[in-house]
Amino acid sequence: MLRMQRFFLSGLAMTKAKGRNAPYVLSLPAVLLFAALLVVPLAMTVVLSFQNYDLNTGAIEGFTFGNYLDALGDPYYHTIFLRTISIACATTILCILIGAPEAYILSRMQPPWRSIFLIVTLSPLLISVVVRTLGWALLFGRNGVINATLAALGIGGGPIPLLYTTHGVVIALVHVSVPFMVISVWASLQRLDPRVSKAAMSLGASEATVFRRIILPQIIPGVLSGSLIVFALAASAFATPAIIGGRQLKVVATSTYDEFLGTLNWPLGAAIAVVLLVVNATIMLTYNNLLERRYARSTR
Amino acid sequence: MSKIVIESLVKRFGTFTALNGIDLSITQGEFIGLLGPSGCGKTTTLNIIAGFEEATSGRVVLDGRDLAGVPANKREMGVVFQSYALFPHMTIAENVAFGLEMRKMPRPEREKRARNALDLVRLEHLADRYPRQLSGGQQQRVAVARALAIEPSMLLLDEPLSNLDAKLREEMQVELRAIQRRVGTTTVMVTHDQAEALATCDRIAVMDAGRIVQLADPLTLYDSPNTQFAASFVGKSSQLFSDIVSVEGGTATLSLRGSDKPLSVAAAPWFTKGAEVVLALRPEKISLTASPSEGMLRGKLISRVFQGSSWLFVVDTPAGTILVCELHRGAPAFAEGQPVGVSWNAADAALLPVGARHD
Repeated sequence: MLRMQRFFLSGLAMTKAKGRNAPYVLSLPAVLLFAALLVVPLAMTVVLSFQNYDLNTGAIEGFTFGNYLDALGDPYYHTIFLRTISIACATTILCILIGAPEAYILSRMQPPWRSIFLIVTLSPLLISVVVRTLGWALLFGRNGVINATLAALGIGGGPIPLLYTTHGVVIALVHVSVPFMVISVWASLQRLDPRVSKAAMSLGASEATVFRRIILPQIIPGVLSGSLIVFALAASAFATPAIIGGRQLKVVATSTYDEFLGTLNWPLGAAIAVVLLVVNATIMLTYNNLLERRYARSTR
Repeated sequence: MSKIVIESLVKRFGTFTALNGIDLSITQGEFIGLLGPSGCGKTTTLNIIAGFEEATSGRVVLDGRDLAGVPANKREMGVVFQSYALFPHMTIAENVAFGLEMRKMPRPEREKRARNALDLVRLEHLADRYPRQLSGGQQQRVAVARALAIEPSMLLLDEPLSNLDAKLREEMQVELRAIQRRVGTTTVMVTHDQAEALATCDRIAVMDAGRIVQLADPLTLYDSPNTQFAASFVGKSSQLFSDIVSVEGGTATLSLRGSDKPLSVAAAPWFTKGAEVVLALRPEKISLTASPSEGMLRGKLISRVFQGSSWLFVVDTPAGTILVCELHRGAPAFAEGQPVGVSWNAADAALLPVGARHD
């Protein structure tokens, strides 16, 4: 009897120990995947960025800050970094201005139309970025659809430059990123209690006041997380700037690509990539902290 | 003088008729309950009064003014929802002052009025908190304060206490009633909880399938329900089916199965000889005796349930199952399986027509 009890107890202790380890065991596959596909390449890139470079042999052993001095000291790269950040900012602002009202209008639609339009809004995500951007290239060209239409209608003096311009890149990036803003704002709109708006109306608020004073403050967290996603995607976008911006209008991602595959200066390319990562992360964390502190109390 | 008059209100959603002719007149300062099962149209009625929905036909007249076409934000009604519906991004004080802000009241005055309203619900110490920091009961009191701060022409309560636990709900019933007495605002409360309606309302409109079945004060409603539906929905009742043997003056004679003597019951004039009727009996108005022959009906106790302050006995009789409630005074007087006699005062039995009466 006693032995049985002891056996039983030790079994209990074992399941307990197992229970404590279970979360780690269960998260192991994901951890391994992350380590293999994200941490290791990232660490290798960081190591690479501190290596020397020789024009004839490529990357060679050694430790230097030279690549970072090149990347941060060269006005050529300053221009590229500033261009990347301003393209990302412009894209984010436009996505807020287009995506947030779009999500609100969608949420106010009647049932059959609401799901149809939501699918239409999100359907660009089903098509490859490259294909979508090539579509924009067809529209944007000197003899593209937009300029051809304008010429046929006799509007404006000659073709508007769109291809290989910053605003062209921004337009294409906004198209690619708006669905992410819509999803994010949509999710926060779904959490709202419609009776809160009704209560505000019964207290004398007009539709416009209800939106401005009641709905908008409650969906700010959604706009915030949406703009973080859009900013990160836009700042590190490669395909769209490569196709619309071309060889001339470089952003950080495309110039990293050029360093790796064009001039074959891998260490410098790695250094640029690391700087972009740090700048990107700094901007996002600061933005997040600022807005979160402001709106933390309202997020439930 | 009627504060609000509702005339033959009809509301259809597609082919579904939610309201099928509601007539209701409420006097100034009255606390009216709309009581019924879900889908009976009580919330629709409230939404139409508040202006959140438009009636298909019929009129709502407030202080002699037809409310047709007046939007919700111009109706000056204080509304309290089951989900509290506080503004999560505003402090309690800001929540309560919102309606006053909409009326463009200067800041010092509206802060004073908001404080007074919070004082009324005894929450002035929580003015700077946010809604999510408050308990359910506190949030509901804030919702009441917010609705009353604008000094509304009417207070509309939509299942205000349904999200609270039983004990808190009883406390809030008393408090809600006390607040309403103090401010004297005409109030309409929607509820599916008959105990809540009995405890708080001056008059109760029992609703079923888009109609008002009975409109009466709680005592009348409980003691003299006019339909089988009202009798079964409000309070517990046992229903015995029978036929009328004869009608004489205001008295009908029935013969219940299992009963030796014919039974005389006060009957409304529309009952005729041979009509099928239901005899509704309240559990606490029935008494049991240990000797079956002394009762009006013979039966057998099939189960007994201890409810703390009282015992509920379930008695099987030839005429039907009867519930009996007796106060708990020490050991129960009857055992399960024991034959018992069932009796009641003839005046305490309500004679009702079978099925719902829709005239």
